[in-house]
Amino acid sequence: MNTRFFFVALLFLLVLRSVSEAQIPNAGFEQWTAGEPDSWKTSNAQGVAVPVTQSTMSHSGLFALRGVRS
Amino acid sequence: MTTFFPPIIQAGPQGAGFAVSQRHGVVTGFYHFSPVGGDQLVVNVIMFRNARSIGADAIAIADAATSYTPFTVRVNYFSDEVPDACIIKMSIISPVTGCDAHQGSTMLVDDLSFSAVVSVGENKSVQSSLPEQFVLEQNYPNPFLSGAKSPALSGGNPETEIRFRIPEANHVVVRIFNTLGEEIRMLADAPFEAGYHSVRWDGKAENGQAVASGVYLCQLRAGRFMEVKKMSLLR
Repeated sequence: MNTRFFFVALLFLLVLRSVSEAQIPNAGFEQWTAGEPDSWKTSNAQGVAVPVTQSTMSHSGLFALRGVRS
Repeated sequence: MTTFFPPIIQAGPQGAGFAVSQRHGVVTGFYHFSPVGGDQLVVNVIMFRNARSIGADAIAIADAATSYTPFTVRVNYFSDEVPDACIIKMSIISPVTGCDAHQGSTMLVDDLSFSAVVSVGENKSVQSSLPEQFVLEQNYPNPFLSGAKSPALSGGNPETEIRFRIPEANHVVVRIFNTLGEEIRMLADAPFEAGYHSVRWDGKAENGQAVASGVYLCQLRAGRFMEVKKMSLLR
């Protein structure tokens, strides 16, 4: 009984923690749409100048954000 | 004609940030940086409550990093409130011109995260007592974007906040000059109580006309105290 209560309480705390912790959207720059990182605004003017691009030279995951003064 | 754009990225689909519900105290991440001509990678973090800034800080990275290197921005709160939105902005600027970077400067950024939640009172600027000296703080954001030329930047910051501290009641004058020394705008010319204050500049001259991109000087005069800070405006 005590063990069951412990696991239920632990599960509740883990759920509570995950709900309460806001995350930075697309913090690893893994999601991109039409050359733009999702949930971020860049100084790109597609077709004119694209200083912010997707890079495969990542710290973790598949992608990182690359910015170049063109 | 070739068009040059500095790399600027700001959190939120329209650059308006994202929702938060806790007093996050630290933003961390990893970067590579290959600067040209002394350029700097600048990371700004600003916390808002009801569209009013309640905490902020920034770091400027000048040294090259050829492998992923961690960075940390510690948010300084100047209010006891819990933020409801956060803006993170990363850009490369030239500290010489105060705005546009040199061609070829390159940054890589990955794995941003919040790494601490602070309670009320922590990470808070000491504002419960009066300041001990006159201080004109660096405006925030800097550079600031006003009526940007690039459609992608049009959601930028329409104005910048200039904070200052005065240890005693005084007549305060805050003025904006261009680099030729010509006065552009008077932001304050009035008596102020001792304490922490701020004024805002929308990038317009006294006649209401938007001024051009470039470097501007903010001068604070309070009695015998005078200090100047350089600000950059991008359009």
